Amino acid sequence: MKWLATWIMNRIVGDGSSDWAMAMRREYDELPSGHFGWSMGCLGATTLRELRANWLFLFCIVFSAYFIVVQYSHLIFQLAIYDRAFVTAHFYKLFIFAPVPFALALGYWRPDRILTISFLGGFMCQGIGNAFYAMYQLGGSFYSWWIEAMWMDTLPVFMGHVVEFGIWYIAASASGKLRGWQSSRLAQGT
Amino acid sequence: MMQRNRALSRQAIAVLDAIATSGQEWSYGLEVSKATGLKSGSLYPILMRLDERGLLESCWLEPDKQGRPPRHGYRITQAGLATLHESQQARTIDKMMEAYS
Repeated sequence: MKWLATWIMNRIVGDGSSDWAMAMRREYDELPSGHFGWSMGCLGATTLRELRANWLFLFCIVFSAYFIVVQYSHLIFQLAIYDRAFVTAHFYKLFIFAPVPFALALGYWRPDRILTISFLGGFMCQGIGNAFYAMYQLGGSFYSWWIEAMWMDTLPVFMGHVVEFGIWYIAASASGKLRGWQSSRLAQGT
Repeated sequence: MMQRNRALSRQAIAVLDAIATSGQEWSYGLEVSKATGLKSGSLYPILMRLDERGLLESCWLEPDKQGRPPRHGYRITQAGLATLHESQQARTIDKMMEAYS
């Protein structure tokens, strides 16, 4: 198990740039035994610290994913009452690009956290989407028409994950790069 | 932002106590872990909190053996000593109250 403990310490715990992550990693080298237990403890400690330090950022990801799937879906549903043909025809465009403004904002705010944005954002969207699907399967009348419009019956769930992950990643990294470019321009004084 | 000044847990007092026994010498995380019996998952969050509250100071120290990277050392501050003293007094009073009741 020592290889796993060393991998955790090097790749997950020691990957953090904080003094504390490096301190834990350094003490790990001095351990005579109990490497796995030590590495698991360090993993828990660093995770907790990350959560405390970045709770607002994580809340924003979860909130935006919730907004996209639940509130945005509701808006489109309302639109569909007036013009079902339009929504059915443009559903893909309406829904698939919904995460873009949120991913852009999050990527601009925290360009060092693009993978977190992509992973959590995509995962949350798909998670809530799957909940809709489950409600449909259980016979929820309100959502049944909506799910039919989403043609989730035919779209494999994992494809949804891939697409959402990709959209969050591309949008977040694009705005992160934009911010980096702006910072370098400011530093050059141009 | 105003810092919360909650009472220290029994484990945090044990950590402060273990570091205080070294006096002005620097202690390493592994030594504190052995002295208190705390595992890394409990020890480091406590060390971080104590450091943030200014009850101990930390710094990177050159290792005893050559060719090894520096280690993170911890030392109690004056504020830490005062807090430890207060906590120990409170615990003594609690014990006396328990004995009398």
